[in-house]
Amino acid sequence: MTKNERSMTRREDAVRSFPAGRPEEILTPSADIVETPESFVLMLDMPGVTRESLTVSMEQNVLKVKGTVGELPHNGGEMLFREIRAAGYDRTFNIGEGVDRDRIDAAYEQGVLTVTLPKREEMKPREISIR
Amino acid sequence: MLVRFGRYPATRSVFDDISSFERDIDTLFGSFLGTGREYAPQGGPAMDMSDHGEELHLVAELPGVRKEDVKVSIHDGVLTLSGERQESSLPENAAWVRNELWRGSFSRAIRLPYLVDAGRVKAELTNGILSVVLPKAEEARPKEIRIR
Repeated sequence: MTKNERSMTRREDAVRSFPAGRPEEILTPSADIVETPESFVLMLDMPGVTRESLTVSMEQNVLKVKGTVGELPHNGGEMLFREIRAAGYDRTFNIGEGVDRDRIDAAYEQGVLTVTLPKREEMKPREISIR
Repeated sequence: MLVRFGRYPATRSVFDDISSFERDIDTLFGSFLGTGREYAPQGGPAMDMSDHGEELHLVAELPGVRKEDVKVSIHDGVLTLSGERQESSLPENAAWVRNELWRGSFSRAIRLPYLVDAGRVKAELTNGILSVVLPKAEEARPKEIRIR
């Protein structure tokens, strides 16, 4: 068997073991959450999500983040290997009463969604001056 | 599973992740099967590769990585993708509530199934997805042989 033939065989094996078509899984995106005196900041890894599909919503005390991954540039090609599993992302957080729902801000950059949740005035730390 | 440290203890449990149980299961199975999305730094980013006849397309997930922090190099038929995901610039006085995102340096090398024309390789990073188009070298392109 020549080197070329061997690599061809290997390639065919690889093709057989990887499903064709788009990924179908909706994954829970990983998240970082930090707290500052003024707000909570969430960062979620959602690579490849299209801006149009991205939604951040609040209902009662539940924050819901959703997005669909756009077309990856494999159209018309034959998959040699496939590891990217996400067709979309979906995650829900229970948030206490302490967030000012009207001032929630969201930004999507480099595949990371950043949601800033400002605290309500009465939840911010306050220093009490001593008479 | 709420881990909290730093200077600002919560007045109440503010974040209670509804799907954390589901997620733990996912992570557990992911690590068993070796296909977990939370790639270990030594495993490198998740990648797809497809063959388009004249060229190969490579796609990798690189959320939170800046363009200037990614390096793609090809040597001796091996493509190496390396770089660094920098620490996010946290606001002052920030305390961690949850820390799941992976950061730090990554490196991954894969043997290309065909010779490629390294001089014409194009790479683009958009929304945390790296796309690399690798034109095959002349001798690796599909060729039709005319029968006399």
